[in-house]
Amino acid sequence: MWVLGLILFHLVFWKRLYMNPFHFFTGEAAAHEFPSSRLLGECLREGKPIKDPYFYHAYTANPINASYYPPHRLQAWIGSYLSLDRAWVVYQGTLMAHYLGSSLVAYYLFGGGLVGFFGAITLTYMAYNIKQNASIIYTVSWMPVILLGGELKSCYLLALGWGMALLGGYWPLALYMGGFGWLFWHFS
Amino acid sequence: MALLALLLGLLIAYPQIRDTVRYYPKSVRAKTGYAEKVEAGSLSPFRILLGLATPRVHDKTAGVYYPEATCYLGVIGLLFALSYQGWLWWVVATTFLLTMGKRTPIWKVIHPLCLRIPARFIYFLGVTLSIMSVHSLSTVYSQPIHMVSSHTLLPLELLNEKPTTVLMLLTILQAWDLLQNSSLVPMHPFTQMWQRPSQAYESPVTSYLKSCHLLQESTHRVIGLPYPNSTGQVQHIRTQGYNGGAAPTELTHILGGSQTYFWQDSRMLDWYGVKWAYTYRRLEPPKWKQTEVPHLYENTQVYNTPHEL
Repeated sequence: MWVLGLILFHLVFWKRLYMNPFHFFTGEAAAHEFPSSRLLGECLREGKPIKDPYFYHAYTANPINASYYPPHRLQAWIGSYLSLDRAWVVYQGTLMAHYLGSSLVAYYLFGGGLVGFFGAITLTYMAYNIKQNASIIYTVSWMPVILLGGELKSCYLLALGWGMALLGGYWPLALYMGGFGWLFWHFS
Repeated sequence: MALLALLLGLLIAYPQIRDTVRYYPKSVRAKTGYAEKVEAGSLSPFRILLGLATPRVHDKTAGVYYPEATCYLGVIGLLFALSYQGWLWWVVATTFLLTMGKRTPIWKVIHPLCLRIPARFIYFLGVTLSIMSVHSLSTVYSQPIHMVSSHTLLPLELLNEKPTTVLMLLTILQAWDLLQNSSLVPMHPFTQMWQRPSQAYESPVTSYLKSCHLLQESTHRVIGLPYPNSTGQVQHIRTQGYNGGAAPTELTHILGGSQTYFWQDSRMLDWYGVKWAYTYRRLEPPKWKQTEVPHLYENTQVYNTPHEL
C-alpha cells in the first residue's frame, strides 16, 4: 500500500509534467542539456566516437554531460531514433524514473511502512533535489543507494551508488557523497 | 571494506574520471582559487535557517531566485529532525559551517579539496536532517503515545490517540507540505515559457545559417546564437563553443572572458573562424555586414582556415 502511496505522491508532485510533457522545456534543459543528449544519441546510433564540433570542445570531459552514465546513454540512443518531441518525452521520462526509483530505494532504506514512506518522500522531494538539470537529478538519485550500502555494510551497494553518482555527472555533490557513505558505514 | 567500496566506485566511474582529469589542466577551473570559489554562495546562518524553515528560499543572487540555497524539507520533517539525539548533529554542524563559505575560516584551509559555491553543501545538510527526522519518527512510532513527548518537539502527548493514527496524520501533513516544492521548477518568472522542441529549435537565424551551408563540414562558427539554439547541437551549427565555468582557458582568451556575453570584437574572432555574430549591439561595416536576418551579421574578415582549439 505504501509503495502505491509513493507512486501516487510522485504523480501528484509532478502532475504538471505528466499533464504536459513539454512543461519543463525551458532554461538550461532546453538550451544545453537536451541538445547535448541529442548529440550523444546521434553519436551512439552511428557508432561514432563522442565528439562535438558544435559546442563542447571536450564533450566527454565535462561530467555534466553524463557521457558514460548508462541510463542517460540508453535514453539518448533511443531518442536518436525519434522525433525531437518524442525524444524529449523519453528524456523527461528518464528523469522522472530516477525520482521514483530513488524514492523506492529510500523507502526500503528506512524500513518500509509508514516510517519508510515518510523518509522516502522527505529525502527524495526535499527542495534541493527538485531540479531540471539532468546531471543533478542523476547524481542525487543515488544517495539512498549509497546510504543503504553504508547501513547494510554492503561493499557492492556503496560502490555502485557512488560510481553511478559520479557518472551521473554533478561532481560538486558526487565527490562528497562517497564520504557520506563512508560515514554511515562506520557510524550508523 | 568501506574504503574498498569507494575504490570500486572510482573504478565504475573510471571513464568519466579519466576524461575529466585529462582535460582539467586545460580548463579555467584549474586556476580557480579561494576567492573565486567562495565568491558566490557563502550563505549567512540566517539564510540557511530561512531556507530550512520556508518553502521558497528568499536568498537571491543579483535579484534572481537562487536554487543553490533551497533546502526545505517540510515543517513536520524539520521538527522531527530537531528532536533527534545522536551523532548526526556533528554532521549537521559541519555541513552548516561549510555552507557558510567565506563567513568562517574553514574554507581557507579546505578549499583545495572543494569545488566552488559553498552553498551546495546545503544538500548534505538537507540529507542529514531528513535521516534525523526518520530516526525520530521511528523512535516515536515504536512507543506508546504517552512515552513519546520526551522524544519529539511535537506536542503529541496532547493527542489522545494511538501513535499510528497521529503519525499517519503527520505524514499526510508532511506530504502536503512537501508538495509545495513542486513549484520550484521551472523557475518562473526567471525562465522562458515552455514550447515544443520541434518548434523551439526552428528560427529564421538557424534557417539562414543552414542555408549558408554552415553545417558540420564547415569550419566557420557563429557567435551568440539565441535561446534555445545556444549550443548549435540540434541544428548542427558550429558555435563559439562552451565558455562557461569549465571552459578551455584558450577559448576564454579568444573571447575575452569566461562567459559568452563577454565576447569582444577582435582579430582573435577572425582567427578563430567566427563568420557570423548574432547580437543586439550594432556592429560596424566594413568588417561586419548586416544579413537579411535582423541582428545577424556576417564577418567579412574571417580567416578561411580558422584556428582549431
